[in-house]
Amino acid sequence: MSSNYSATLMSKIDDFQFPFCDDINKYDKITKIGQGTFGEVFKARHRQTNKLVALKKVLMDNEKEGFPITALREIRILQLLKNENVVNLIEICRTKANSANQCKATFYLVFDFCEHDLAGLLSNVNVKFSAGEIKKIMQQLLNGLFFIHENKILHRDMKAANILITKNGVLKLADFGLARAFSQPKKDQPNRYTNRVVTLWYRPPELLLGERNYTSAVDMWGAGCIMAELWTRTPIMQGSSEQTQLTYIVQLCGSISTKVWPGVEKLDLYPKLNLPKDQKRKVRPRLAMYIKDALALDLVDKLLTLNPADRIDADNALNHDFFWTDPMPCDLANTLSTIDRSMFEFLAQKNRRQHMQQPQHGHQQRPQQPHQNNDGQYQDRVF
Amino acid sequence: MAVSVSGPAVEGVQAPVKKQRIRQIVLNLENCILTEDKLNNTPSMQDGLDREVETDLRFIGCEFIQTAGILLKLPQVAMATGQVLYQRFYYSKSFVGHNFEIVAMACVVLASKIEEAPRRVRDVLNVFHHMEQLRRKKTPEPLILDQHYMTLKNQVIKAERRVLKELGFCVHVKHPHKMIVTLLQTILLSENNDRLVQIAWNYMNDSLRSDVFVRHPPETIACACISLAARMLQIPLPTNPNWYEVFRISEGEIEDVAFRIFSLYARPEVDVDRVDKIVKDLRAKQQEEKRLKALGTLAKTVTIADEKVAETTVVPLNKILDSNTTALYGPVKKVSGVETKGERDRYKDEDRHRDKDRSRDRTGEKSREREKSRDQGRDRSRERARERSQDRSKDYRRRSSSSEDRSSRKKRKRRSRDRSRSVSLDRRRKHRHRRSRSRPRNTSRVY
Repeated sequence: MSSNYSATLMSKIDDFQFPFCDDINKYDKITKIGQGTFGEVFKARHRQTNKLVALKKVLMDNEKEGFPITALREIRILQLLKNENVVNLIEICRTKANSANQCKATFYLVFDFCEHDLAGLLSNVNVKFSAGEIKKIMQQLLNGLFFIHENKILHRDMKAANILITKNGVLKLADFGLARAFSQPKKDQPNRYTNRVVTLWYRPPELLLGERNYTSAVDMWGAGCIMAELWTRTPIMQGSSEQTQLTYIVQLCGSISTKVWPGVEKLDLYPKLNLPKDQKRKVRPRLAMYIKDALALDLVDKLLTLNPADRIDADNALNHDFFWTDPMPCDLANTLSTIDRSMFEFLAQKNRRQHMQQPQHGHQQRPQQPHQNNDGQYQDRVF
Repeated sequence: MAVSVSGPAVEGVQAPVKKQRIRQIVLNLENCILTEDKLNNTPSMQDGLDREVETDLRFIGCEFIQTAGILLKLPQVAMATGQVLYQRFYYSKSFVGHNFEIVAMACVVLASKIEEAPRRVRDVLNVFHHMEQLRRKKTPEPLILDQHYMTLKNQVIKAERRVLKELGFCVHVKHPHKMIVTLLQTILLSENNDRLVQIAWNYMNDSLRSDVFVRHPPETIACACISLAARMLQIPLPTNPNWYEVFRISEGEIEDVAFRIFSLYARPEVDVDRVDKIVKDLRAKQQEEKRLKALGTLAKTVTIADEKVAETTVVPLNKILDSNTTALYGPVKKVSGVETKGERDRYKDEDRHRDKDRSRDRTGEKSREREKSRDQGRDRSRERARERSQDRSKDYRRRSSSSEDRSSRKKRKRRSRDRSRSVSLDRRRKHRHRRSRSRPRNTSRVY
């Protein structure tokens, strides 16, 4: 309770100027490590303490309506969410307004710096995770999801590139640029959220079918895709459009019908899309060649459930036997200590483009962000 | 709120520290509670504004936000947030420096976003315009989309950013509404207290116009509102011990909140124009002072310079005044991103000329494409614009040399060549001119 502030403390902060935004100059930009939908991300160092941070720039050039609501949401959500498995927002800095930038200050979100992201790690053939390490990654991922869902926040952009891992092996969910608070859908008053969220390859079937009254299950589908990716090392369903993405899903998870998913007929796009009929569910046989662990297969199967109401939630997933049988989850620090430089997808792509020596199979260009304008300059983001 | 003090300030064991340094800001969601010193010595008072006038300005600003919120069909929680933000902001900035109406509009825009019920800036401007006309007892007319509107909109957007900056993005407000309901359910344990809840809420919404939200945590305000409402309805609440003591709230605090709410009702109606005039006068005075001060230093330097040049130049006073005013207030500034129609047409003409000329060029095709993409992508990122303008300047260099080649080879076409060259020279000059203003053009967003 805020009334607990003692009088002595209050007197100490008497000469404190109202909470402010520091100038960005207290950080020294080192390099650009990513490009997001609403800004660029830089690696930077605190000039005095030498602490490494990540700076995420808030782009405001195209804003006719003032400060972007998405940025505002991200800031407020990150202020609320303080957890080991959620990226930590340190503060917000700004540039001074001067004539060079038309008297417009730019704002930066300052995060703790994380050395790697999952997409970058998985695209590096030299990084090999043991079964215990994979369990640790998934456990932390689900733990983070459990925490944000518990706080009534939807992430809405689950993908490997948004999963950061520090050099000590702590996993952090990042990029809350699409996140928002949600309420349990009520019968008489359905929620009307936008369904144009989540990167296409990780987008769950209900969003592809036009659902607007969705729940935290949208993030669990993404978690399932990421979990499979830990073994396959490449995104499992790489559709190029909504239609092909749904086709891939049907080919993997079986046909979408009212039998497996009661109520699907009410979704807007269900009657309009032509989907393969009478497909059998092949999650287990198709992934068995990558995933030898039967319990792991079972969990992936439960995460990639078509019907969002039947899909396993973060709490139950954490209680799954997969995490409680040998080999138990173990620390990632050892494996990560063998990597000497940051693994970011953004940087990995750059390297790939430069060398082109061994083109990675199956790595097409990353699909376009759902809500981005078609300006043809898409680059994936790290955060 | 939001402050963690590290180092000597907290330990306090070391030799008395005169000036504490705040090392770290912690972002959190608690409400801001200000110290007595901050409350009694506000930035507006430092600018010489009377305390009463400041209270008036706070009152009408909040009233505007509330009324506008109703007209915009915002949820009450958004209005409440907007009012708290407005109050907080003016403990950091002065009413003299920042027009209260524009800040009020910015607070409405911002609060609507915070509470997930976004309204367009344009709608907010319209509503405030409507309210002003009603206040002046005029028949409401729609706001005209003109230069004035553009300026106003930009001012509001800037003010929104300033509010965010000044509050360090701690824009979350914990409202006592919900607390009132749950508290009443626990104390009274009876179902039928709708009336009591409503009256308590009414007191709470009124309290937004006072400074209780920066003086007390929301729990105290909730308790005070309940006790006021219960008193009005003559409903007894547990007194031995006092029910609010569960929350470690003292009777004094409750009374303080109650006193502040009631003193709102004792205030005479605010004369907006009078208050506005006071602020404007102060602002003018302040600017005048600044100007005189700057003039003083300038005059000094001028006299020194004069001595050095041995009385050869005499600077007329009015000239000093002129140069000084421009230095102080800047040249008459065009609002960023706004172009008049005439200007735009002129640019179009220029474009056409260039295109015509380009077709003769070998790289004409390419450059025209670039040109086209430039026209389409006015609102694209600034960097790309810069890149492009660099490209363009390369292009020009190439072309000018090629036109010289042509001139040596083909004498017969001298006349046409001359024309083209003069055009290109002319264009180059214009181009330079354009580059200097290419930035505002490319970020322009209002058409």
